[in-house]
Amino acid sequence: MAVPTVALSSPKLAYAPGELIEVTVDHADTDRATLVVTSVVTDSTGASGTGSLTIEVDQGRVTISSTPAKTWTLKSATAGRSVYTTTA
Amino acid sequence: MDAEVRHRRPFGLHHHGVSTLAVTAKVTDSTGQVGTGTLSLTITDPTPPVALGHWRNRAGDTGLAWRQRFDAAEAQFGPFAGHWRDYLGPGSNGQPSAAHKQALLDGRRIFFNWKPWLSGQSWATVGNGSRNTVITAAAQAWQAAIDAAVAAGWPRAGMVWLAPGHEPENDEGAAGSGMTPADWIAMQRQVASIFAAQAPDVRIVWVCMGFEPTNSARFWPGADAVHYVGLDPYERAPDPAWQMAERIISRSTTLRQILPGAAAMPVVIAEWGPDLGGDMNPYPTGDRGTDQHRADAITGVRTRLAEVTAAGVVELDYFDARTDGLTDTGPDALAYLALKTATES
Repeated sequence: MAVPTVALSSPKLAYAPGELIEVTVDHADTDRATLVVTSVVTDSTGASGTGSLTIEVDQGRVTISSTPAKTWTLKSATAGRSVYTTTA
Repeated sequence: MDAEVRHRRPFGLHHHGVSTLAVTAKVTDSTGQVGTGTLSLTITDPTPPVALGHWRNRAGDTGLAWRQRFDAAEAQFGPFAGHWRDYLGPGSNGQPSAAHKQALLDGRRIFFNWKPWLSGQSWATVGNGSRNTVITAAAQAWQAAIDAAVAAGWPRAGMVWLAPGHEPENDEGAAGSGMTPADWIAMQRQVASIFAAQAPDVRIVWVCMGFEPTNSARFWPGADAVHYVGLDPYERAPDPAWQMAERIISRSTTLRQILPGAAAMPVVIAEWGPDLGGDMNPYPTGDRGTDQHRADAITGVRTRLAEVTAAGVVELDYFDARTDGLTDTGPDALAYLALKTATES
């Protein structure tokens, strides 16, 4: 069971007061995986029906904070990347 | 001395009108394990005060250690709100010396240029990761020195600045030399990345010559790798004194306009002086102008401080060395003292 790796970046490192700050959180975990479980049911006539279920293993939960404290808004998120914004 | 200096010095948590926003993100997986990442941003006051920093290595300073030269400078002008400058050349391990650490413990700020490659190596050597171990050790050592000074009661913000190399326009080489703009950019980004991870309190200053801003802009590594735009404007003894201020203002303004993402970025005049050159003989035999020429150039900057501020400049680091060196009691020294007072009032 691995510890998640986290890297933060921003389009620039200096902002003026009132400007929109954007911070991207890229994260990964070697345990992370996507499992697709597929079930096939075949009746006596040979006809079959299929169902599937996608399971995310070890999906990371992202939180962001700052000093001084600010209100951060989640702009977008994928399995390995969350983008947050706040006001400088 | 320290208590008095600490009381008198005009800095605070919002040094130069620049404050720090420390961002932390945590990722928790299903087993409860937590990964953490950090990022340190700067928030710039739109009308910050200008601080005066200093480099001293006068012709008469031969034999004096770095600290002794700055003690002499402060004995003449008083404590500086800006940074004490230093230069670590190729082959240096980039780590703070005992004198650097003591200066931080004494409440001084340090802005050092470091060429993090060995003599004979190129910018590409750094950009391709060959110097990562040395750079990482340097970053960790500076962060430890900062932490020790903070533990001694000094404000963390703005304590140490780093210029990874400087004035690339001077050293550009042909394709394949390892000294192209692309090589410089890779070097800057490599150093900035390591320091961001290992020494988040060290601020990165990108320092160009800047006399042809469009040419300098070819070396811009991107606003995501730089905290401060830096430039080194000078004039020569035969130049009109008023050009000193003009060059500071116009070049700072232009660089902020043309560098992507730098419109609101604070500017550092990392070196400046009125008598550029290496020959200490009086002009026109040599490069050293009159005491009055230096005084007029410095006064010109003082009388245009509002425009300097409007150009985004947060610190002026005078090059009190060689032909730009100030006298002990002449009109240039008096003009510099007046400029220092004006930046602190």
